[in-house]
Amino acid sequence: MRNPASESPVVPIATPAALEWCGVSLDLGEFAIQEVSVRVDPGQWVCIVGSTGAGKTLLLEVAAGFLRPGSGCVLRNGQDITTLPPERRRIAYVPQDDLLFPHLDVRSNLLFGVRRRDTAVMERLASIADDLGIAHLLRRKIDAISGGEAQRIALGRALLLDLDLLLLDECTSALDEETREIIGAFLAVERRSRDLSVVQVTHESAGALRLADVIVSMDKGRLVNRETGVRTSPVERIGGIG
Amino acid sequence: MSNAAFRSVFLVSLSLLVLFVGLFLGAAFLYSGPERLIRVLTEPAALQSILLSLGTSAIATLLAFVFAIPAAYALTRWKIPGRAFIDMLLDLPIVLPPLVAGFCLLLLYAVLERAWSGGLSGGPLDLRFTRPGIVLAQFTIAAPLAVRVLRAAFAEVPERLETMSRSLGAGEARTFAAISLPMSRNGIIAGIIMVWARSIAEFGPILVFCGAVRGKTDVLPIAIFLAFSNGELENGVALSALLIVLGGIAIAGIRRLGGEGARLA
Repeated sequence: MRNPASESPVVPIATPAALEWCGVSLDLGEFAIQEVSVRVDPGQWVCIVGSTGAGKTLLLEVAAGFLRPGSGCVLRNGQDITTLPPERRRIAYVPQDDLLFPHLDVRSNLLFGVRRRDTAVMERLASIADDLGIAHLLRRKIDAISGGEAQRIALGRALLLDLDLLLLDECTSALDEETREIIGAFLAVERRSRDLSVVQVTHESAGALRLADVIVSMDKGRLVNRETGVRTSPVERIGGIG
Repeated sequence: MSNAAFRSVFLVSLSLLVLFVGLFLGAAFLYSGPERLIRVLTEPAALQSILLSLGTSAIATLLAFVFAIPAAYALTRWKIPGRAFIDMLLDLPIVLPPLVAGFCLLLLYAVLERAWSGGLSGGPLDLRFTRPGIVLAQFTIAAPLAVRVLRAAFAEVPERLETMSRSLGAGEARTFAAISLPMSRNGIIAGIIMVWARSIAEFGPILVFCGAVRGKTDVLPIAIFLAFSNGELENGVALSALLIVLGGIAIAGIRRLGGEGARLA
């Protein structure tokens, strides 16, 4: 099957995709995806856009292991991970609903996925908390933070996993425009410094355009369009995450 | 009917019911004054019954939760073949008349005895008419009740949070220990109180399986039964009052903790 996003000019075709959906279908009644194939090359930023109910979130949840597809498969670095449990997929996922653990404080949430708690990790925690503007919240309970703060904590928790693939589902929707710009700039730097592959889901394409290498449009569970090479200059890449 | 009349009818019903329950529970305290109650409850025989009840019900509750926590979690989260049948089987001891549960326990021993050609009788596993047998009799009701309460507690933990934990690299065991268990803590504690309260009030299975032997198997309900049977009314009243107080404390604790336990209490 032909992959719509497989024409990246940068990565040789022989390189295994950081993530690839191959003909994935899933029907949950209200939401469904049908025969969706998307390839994400290493270091690539792919935006999935579409209206509410287009199936964007389902796609991410299938990749992260929250849902099992009805048919098709998901490849990670060339390995079929369709039936792997979530803990073995090595994918950092920031869901739309944050899914912070309400019985833990902010710091424990941020460090939940980190096994070793050495000095380097603590420095990284401090650095990420500073960059995301949540350093003052570390001792706070989850029920005492705002929606925007929760989104930033969920993002920080995913980044602290130090993985090379990040899935973002409307992860800044509750932020004001200025904070969104700051987070976008921070993610652009993270991506460059760690050769991070990013799949970002958003319902509005304006902000997404500025960071994405590939924009994939979905409608009613199907892939309807993909656009490559949309990133034009480093300046334009900064900010504007959707 | 006007709003005022409608409300009056309902509030009168509520008042009558509260008055009735309050009076019949309070009768034990009205019959004997506090001095007599305290005097009877501090007698050696009563203290022995109290300690025996507290000890056996605590052990039975502990054992019930050791088995019920994994069982309830498995039933709540995993697709287990025959789950509906297992659910029904585990609920049966709760709805059975307690005497029948005790009788079934006795019959189990009879069947085992027959299978082992009489090798069970008098051995360390023969718990009939013994104090460990009281724990077993309490356990027969406590464990299924604990499974029922815990299932409700685990079901209140959003499954997506558990999947998120696993997505962050935690396996099933760590997810259970770090997410499921602490997040259902209140439900578990409320369940422990409820199961303990039920165990300490258990009568039927103990009477059938362990008998009513003064100084040996006379937990509080058995002691009350013996007291009334032998015309020792004051002793029976005092021990009944104690059980009412313990029940009240248990319900207050469960309500304070909230969760499914509170709804069942």
